[in-house]
Amino acid sequence: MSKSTSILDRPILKPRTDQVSMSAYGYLYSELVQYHQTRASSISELEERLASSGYGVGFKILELLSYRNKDNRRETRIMSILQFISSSVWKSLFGRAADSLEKSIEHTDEYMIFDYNPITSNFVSVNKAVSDAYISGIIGGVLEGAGFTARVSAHSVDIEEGEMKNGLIGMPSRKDKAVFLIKFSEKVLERDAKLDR
Amino acid sequence: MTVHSLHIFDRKGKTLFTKTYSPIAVKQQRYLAESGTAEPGSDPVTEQRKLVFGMLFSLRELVGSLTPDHSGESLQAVRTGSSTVHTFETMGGLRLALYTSNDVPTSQTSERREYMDNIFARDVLRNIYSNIWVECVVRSPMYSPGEIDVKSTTFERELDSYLSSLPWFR
Amino acid sequence: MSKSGSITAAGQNLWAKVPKANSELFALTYGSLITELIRDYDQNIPEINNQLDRIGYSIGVRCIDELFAKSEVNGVQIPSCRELRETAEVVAKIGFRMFLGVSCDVGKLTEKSFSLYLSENPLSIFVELPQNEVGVDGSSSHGPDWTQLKYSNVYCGVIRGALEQVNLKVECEFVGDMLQGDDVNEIKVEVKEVIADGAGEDYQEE
Repeated sequence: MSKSTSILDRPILKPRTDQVSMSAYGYLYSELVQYHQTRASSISELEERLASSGYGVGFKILELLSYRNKDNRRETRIMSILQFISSSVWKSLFGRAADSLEKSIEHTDEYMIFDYNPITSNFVSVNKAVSDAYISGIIGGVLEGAGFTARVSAHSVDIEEGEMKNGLIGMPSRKDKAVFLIKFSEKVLERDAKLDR
Repeated sequence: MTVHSLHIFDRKGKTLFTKTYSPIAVKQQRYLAESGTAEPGSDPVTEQRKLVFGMLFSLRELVGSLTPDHSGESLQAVRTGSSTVHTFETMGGLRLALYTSNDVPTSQTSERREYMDNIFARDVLRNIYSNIWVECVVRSPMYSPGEIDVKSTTFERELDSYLSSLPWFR
Repeated sequence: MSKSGSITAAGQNLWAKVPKANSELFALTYGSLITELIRDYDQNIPEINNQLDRIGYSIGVRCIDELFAKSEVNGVQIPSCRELRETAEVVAKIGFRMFLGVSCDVGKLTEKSFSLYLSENPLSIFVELPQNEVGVDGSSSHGPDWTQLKYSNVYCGVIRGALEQVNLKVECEFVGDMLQGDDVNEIKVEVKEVIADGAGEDYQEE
């Protein structure tokens, strides 16, 4: 018999505080990108493949965080699940909250999460949005797992002159930021509207 | 004080990056390309670069075998009457070669101790490797040794802005 | 300070200075890579092990440059590794520490080989391997043989790739795996050849 403790005996409730180096993550992630790239015939297929990898992570992290969250809350409203993602999910995966969460002015079914330094494209010089597709997959996975069907896509936009920029220490400075666009399905919106009454 | 050009070679002598900076070196290369001779299938400029690598490589071997105690056996610079090639070799076998005019000091130990700005070519090369090459090229998801189009990264941009900030650039 | 002590200190020093990422994200991302491999290679376990080694190799040839560069910037002296013992110590105390923040020990040192012992494995914090399917009659069935899976085989590739960049051709094998019930994770590294530095005629082709 093995003396080592089985994974099932190890506490999962407490968030792990140990870390790995950013570059180790960078290398691993770039291998994931390359792996998909050799199998994808187009940029959009690469995006899809990365997003589907992230999707599973989203599901798992939702489960993990719900389990760790002691008051057993379940988010039922659009705004609260989005806040949960941009703060709790972000903090547990990236060590900090997302830079902002906004509701689209033009389209009532769209929301946006902004991040100035997403880990997935820190070391990428072209096609950052493609690389960030992994995170859009994570967001999609969390939303689906929580019962909010939505389409999530990653985009990269230039930072405007004078816009606040809180770069991470030791990371290359960036001239753009990532936008994760979340478009909820009609059903989800209807349900949310009903809850308003 | 002038920076003429920079070459980066891999362990086997393949040119990973090359760029000519000073107008005089550009002119000289153009002249070489038009009038020089080379084996068929190669151009004179490439040929010359191979010779530079060959020279650095052989000199390094020679220096290594001449050094009695295996310490400080690296080749630092080769100087002629008109210009200097400063060189830096990494443990992974990457070689960087920087051509400058003769008034650019190689390192602390070279004879121009009176030089005021204290920016030495070897430190510049070390910095190009540690901070620019590793960050821009090695970190790029497309990198695998010897097989990368360096132009596809931000390396050149970062390198240019670094070199042009040096007091002895041009 | 003893030589090995100073290498340990150098590794800790570098680890303190590098930017960090969350280990759960790291483990989950590696997990998603494994999931893709298992799906794409149709549960062909030996092939999955190969692919992991190949992926690691491609990481190894790159991270060695970063190790040298970061040491250079932070004024950490990497010994020139004239003996295998030193090489092993650098891999364990600087490599594993600087990139993964874990401690790693060297053992079973011979002239041509050594073993690395990892008590913590950041890749597998959420992992429990599936049991092999067993048929109704107790015989083993057609499912994949999970006991053959080297979940963390990527390490072997990394070490192989990194050492090749400093002229050491090695073979690595994951010989002990806590996921398979072993007491400790053990990676065996065997030196096959010391590559002579030489440009040869290779540099003729551009």
